Amino acid sequence: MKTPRSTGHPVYGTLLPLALVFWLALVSPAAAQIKVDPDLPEYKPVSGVSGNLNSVGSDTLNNMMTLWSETFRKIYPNVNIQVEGKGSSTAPPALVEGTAQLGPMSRAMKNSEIERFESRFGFKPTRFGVALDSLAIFVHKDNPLESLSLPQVDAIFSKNRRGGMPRDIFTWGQLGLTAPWANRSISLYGRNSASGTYGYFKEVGLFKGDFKDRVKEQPGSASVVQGVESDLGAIGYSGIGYKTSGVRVVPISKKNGGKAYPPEYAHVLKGKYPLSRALFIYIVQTPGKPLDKITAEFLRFVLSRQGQEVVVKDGYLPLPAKMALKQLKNLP
Amino acid sequence: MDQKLLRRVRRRDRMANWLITAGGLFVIICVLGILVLIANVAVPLLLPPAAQQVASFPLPRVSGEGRELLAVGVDDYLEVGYVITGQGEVGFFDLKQGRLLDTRDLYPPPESVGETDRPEGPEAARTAEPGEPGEPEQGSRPGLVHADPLGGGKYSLLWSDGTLNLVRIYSRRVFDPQGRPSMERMVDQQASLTHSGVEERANPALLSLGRVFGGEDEETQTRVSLLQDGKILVEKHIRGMDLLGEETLENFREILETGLEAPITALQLDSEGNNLYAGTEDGHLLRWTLQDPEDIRLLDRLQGFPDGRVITSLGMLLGDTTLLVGDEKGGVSGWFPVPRGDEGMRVLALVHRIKPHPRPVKGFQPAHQSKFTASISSSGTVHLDQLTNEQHLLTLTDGETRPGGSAPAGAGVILGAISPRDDGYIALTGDGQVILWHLRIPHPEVSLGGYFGKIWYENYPRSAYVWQSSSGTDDFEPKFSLMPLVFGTLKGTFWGMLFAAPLAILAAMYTSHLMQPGLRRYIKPAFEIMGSVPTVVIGFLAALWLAPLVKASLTGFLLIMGILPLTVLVALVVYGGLARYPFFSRLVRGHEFLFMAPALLLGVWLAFVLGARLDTALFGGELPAWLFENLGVRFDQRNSIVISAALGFAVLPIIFTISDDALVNVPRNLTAASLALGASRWQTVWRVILPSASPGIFAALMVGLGRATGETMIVLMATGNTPLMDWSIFNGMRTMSANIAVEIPEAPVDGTLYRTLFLSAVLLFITTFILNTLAEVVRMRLRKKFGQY
Repeated sequence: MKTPRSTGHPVYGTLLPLALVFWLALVSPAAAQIKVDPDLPEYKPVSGVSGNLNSVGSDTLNNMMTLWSETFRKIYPNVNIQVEGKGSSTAPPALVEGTAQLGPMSRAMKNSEIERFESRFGFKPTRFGVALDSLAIFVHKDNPLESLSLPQVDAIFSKNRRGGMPRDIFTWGQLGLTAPWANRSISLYGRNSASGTYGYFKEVGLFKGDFKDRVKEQPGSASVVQGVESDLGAIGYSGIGYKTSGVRVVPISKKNGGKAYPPEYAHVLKGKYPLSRALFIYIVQTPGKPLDKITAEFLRFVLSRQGQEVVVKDGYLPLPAKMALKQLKNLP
Repeated sequence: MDQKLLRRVRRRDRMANWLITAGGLFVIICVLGILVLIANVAVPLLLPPAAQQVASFPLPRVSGEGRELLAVGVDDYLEVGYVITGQGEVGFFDLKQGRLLDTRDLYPPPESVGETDRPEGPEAARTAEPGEPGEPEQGSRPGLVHADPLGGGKYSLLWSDGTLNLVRIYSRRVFDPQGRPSMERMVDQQASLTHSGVEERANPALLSLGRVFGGEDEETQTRVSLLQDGKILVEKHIRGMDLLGEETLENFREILETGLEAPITALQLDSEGNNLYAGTEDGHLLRWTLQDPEDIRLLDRLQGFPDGRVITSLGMLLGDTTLLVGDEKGGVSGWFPVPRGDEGMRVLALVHRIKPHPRPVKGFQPAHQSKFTASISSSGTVHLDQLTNEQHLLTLTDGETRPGGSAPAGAGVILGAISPRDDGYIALTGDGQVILWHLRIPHPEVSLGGYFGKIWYENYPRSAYVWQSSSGTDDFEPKFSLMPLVFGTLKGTFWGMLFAAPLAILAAMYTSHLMQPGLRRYIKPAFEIMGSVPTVVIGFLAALWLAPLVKASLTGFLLIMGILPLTVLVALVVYGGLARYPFFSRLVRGHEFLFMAPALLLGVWLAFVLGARLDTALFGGELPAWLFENLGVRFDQRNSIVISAALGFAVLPIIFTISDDALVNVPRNLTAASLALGASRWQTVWRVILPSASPGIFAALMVGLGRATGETMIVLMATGNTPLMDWSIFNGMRTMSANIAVEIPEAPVDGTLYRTLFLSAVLLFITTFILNTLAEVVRMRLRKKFGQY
């Protein structure tokens, strides 16, 4: 049988810097590597900001929203912010019904949601990218696997193989590993179905296919990593922020035989790493009318250096200054 | 005796009696109330779908009548309906009063012909009002040939001059300065796809389908035309961005031939323009992939129906996977590519057959948010069917007598559309009536058969029991089979009880009658403390400590089962030898466990040492890998061995305590009589006490069983929640209780998943109820048989 090998020559070129990165990752916690872009603007408080802000939406962003609102309230004690995180799908209805001014979402709005919004207001919702996130594929730290392609990831995790791989992959040998790994079966770990990570991975990693029944659904990202840590033949996916020294991050390529990239900040920014996404806040911004002050100041704060430091603190990736400045222009 | 006191005692007795009865009744009412409350949430799942005809009026005069009507539609709010005429106009009408509101032109404005840009916003997108400059003269204008509905008010329109454009027709709510809402009707020109400019005149398109797919950076426009000579022309324009940020445009063009005698009778393209389907007059189905414009290939060409019936209509179900096929005999079927063989081949196959129409099928109108479809036949009736579970939802016929006379014979629905929110159906009849139905189909994706039977889902090679309830996308086909969950619950309970029941009952027998009574005072509370360990702690330990340990020394754990009885046997022989010495016998009596405990520990130690040796000698260091390689048995780190131990640990104390109480409460006179007649201690326990206490022990087992069935935290943390249907001890399970805990936080309230989770809660409740009732009945019988202890 011909086993598909994705570890072609192009990978060796990146091996040295890769090794360096892993070494760095082992000696320092993941969060310390990422520096907030120094060109991000400093947030300068203005006067007269008070009132209520309601946020309804993503649970991925829930922690970050809470941290932002706490820091924001330190600047403006008269501001009252309520954060509700029940999933990205709850944001568009809340905006349409006017129960929230901020709609944090871990994915872009679906067309149907935009259409519904448009039907209500007559204009499209305004989107602010507020942070970046990348999903990482983890293996046990002793696993020699060099890289994976997205179709291989699909054949490992999915029973439908919509990515186009002809065969199911269930041993490490099928990924080109030699003894003693060749005959070890792949033990699968993933997030529970309530999480946005699950949905995102299903859409991008599995090409909208279904997970295998064998994927062990763990209630939290940390327990996915813990499971992989304690299981030699394991592979699992979760947010990059949860990486520990017991696991190794596998570089991913978009296509079989393509160049594989690790989920590093630089590759995420360039869109080279296929499992990365932006996290958004949606608002209702009537064209030609000024945005209410409290919402505008909150977004200005989120897109400032202080706001992006909160992003790093929460284990996600901050925006580059260029992206933040471009979006700040849209604010009055 | 003092009469007064007696009366007082009796009165208090009566009061206590009432109080207890009332309390008992209150408990029963509460429990039933909980059941009603849970069931109440689940019941709407099983209610039949309903349709209500809310409006019926003659179609108001749209300008340019006399030409054919091509499509009918309704807006989001079921307030405004519209028809598309053969003259290329859309006429909006009020659905409450039935009067014409206005008409708009659908022909692409001249400046946008040939351009690929999307208009900036709705304002810019509005078509020119009649009379504005740029409006073509009425006489010279091309007519509309074909309107292909894409769902959500979008249409791909083919004009008689070969132009193809994509429009979106909708209405939106606007507010005047006083805040009063009114509806504004909108027509967005979304794209215009012209031929690349070839022999249109000689070989005009009979039918053209257009699709636009992509985002801001990349957009693919696909136009497929069925030409007069029976060939298919495929044109693709791909707009993208090169590395320097410059816009690029690539054009592709290819002529496809079917290679069949019979002409094409139906053509369908999926919403991304990647797959092209065709049906022929002799029942052939063809599928091409257009995904890579340089490699357009015919993937399937098969005789769909052996009797060679004409394929009259094709449609794409939400999600672009299932092809809907309607034929001249009224048959409606669902087809999708099914994996066949090893090499990833996918072959179009007939998967779902739904209730047939009496006459040929004329068209499909798939729903926008769920996997059901409407189909119209030439008899004028509309069927609504769910494909996934092959359930016929509704039949819509124009049954009401109309004001101003009865319907002429033969007038039935000729055009129809499902509203964008799937809550209404608008139809146009042959005699010019507009009918609006309100649909109430809240949970089309589930049925009793779907919960407990096998279903063939999209992209699956065969029908199966699958639980996979959610996804990040709208077009996902939710899979709600309760079977893997019921199976998982039974499996977890079985392995847990297998571990706990024998240990607990034997321990209770020993502590209650064989052990030194003084010691029992310490042992029993110790067990009860064990029972008070929070299950989350047990689950945590099982997942983080026990699971890796079991995997690392699996051989040792398996050997324990063989070696432990052996060591016990050896220890017994030694014990028998030593027991001859009265000194030893007196010392040990009632403290036998002090002698056995080291033997057991020795056995465990021996098993692990031997296991490690065996691993290196026979299994190449790892039993799991060896099992997989040689026997094909897959070992998961979260498996039933771990669950057996953890769940067993949780239920052991309850079974022990209740059994112990039952055994202790056997009257001493029975024991004394048995011993006095010369029975040994063991004989007394086994033959006299155990049968007498069996009702109590049985109750203990049932309580334990109920606890194991409902246990949530341990299974949630330690099973891996894998919805497998496999009794193997080497893999995990997903139980109903853990499933509820995992999925309820993000289930949209009153959605199908939410109600389904409540249904599984009802199921759990009923299971426990049946178990307890059964237990009580059996206990009563045992009690009758073995006396009242």
